[in-house]
Amino acid sequence: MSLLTSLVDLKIKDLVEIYQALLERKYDIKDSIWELSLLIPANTTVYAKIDVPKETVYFERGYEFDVDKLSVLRFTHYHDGRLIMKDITLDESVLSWRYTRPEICVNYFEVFVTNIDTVDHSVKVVGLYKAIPRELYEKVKI
Amino acid sequence: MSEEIKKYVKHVSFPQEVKIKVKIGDKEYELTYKPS
Repeated sequence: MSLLTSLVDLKIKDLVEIYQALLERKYDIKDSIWELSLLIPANTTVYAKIDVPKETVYFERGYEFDVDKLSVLRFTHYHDGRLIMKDITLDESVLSWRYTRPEICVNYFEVFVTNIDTVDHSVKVVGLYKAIPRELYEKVKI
Repeated sequence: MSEEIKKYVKHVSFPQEVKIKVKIGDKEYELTYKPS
């Protein structure tokens, strides 16, 4: 990559960051979290569907998982019916999951947690996201 | 939350009001979480 290209890229990146900061200030957009703690009975799948509030759209950034036992729970996740994570075994490697770019969730998200063990287990899922005003999202969406 | 769903949904926390549907086996529950 030439020096000129690097400089142009840097400026665009800077502009994007400045614009993002201005939008976040104007619309009071902050990093937020949601939490869901579930008891999953033995050999059972628990399904949860959560409606995104009508006035906002979620830009999901990642998840933190807390499990009482590693490698016995499997996690599947959808945004607006679109598969995001399929049958991820909750072991040490995924307890702190980050998207490489924000994943948009407009209307609802779904969580499936399957316990493959013969005893009950619990999981706490923390979602990291920014709530964007739906009005703003409707203006910029492609 | 109803007593039965409390056995499975131990904790919910959102900054905004959200509607949650939970299915465990054949049983289905609905709840509305309101931040305090």
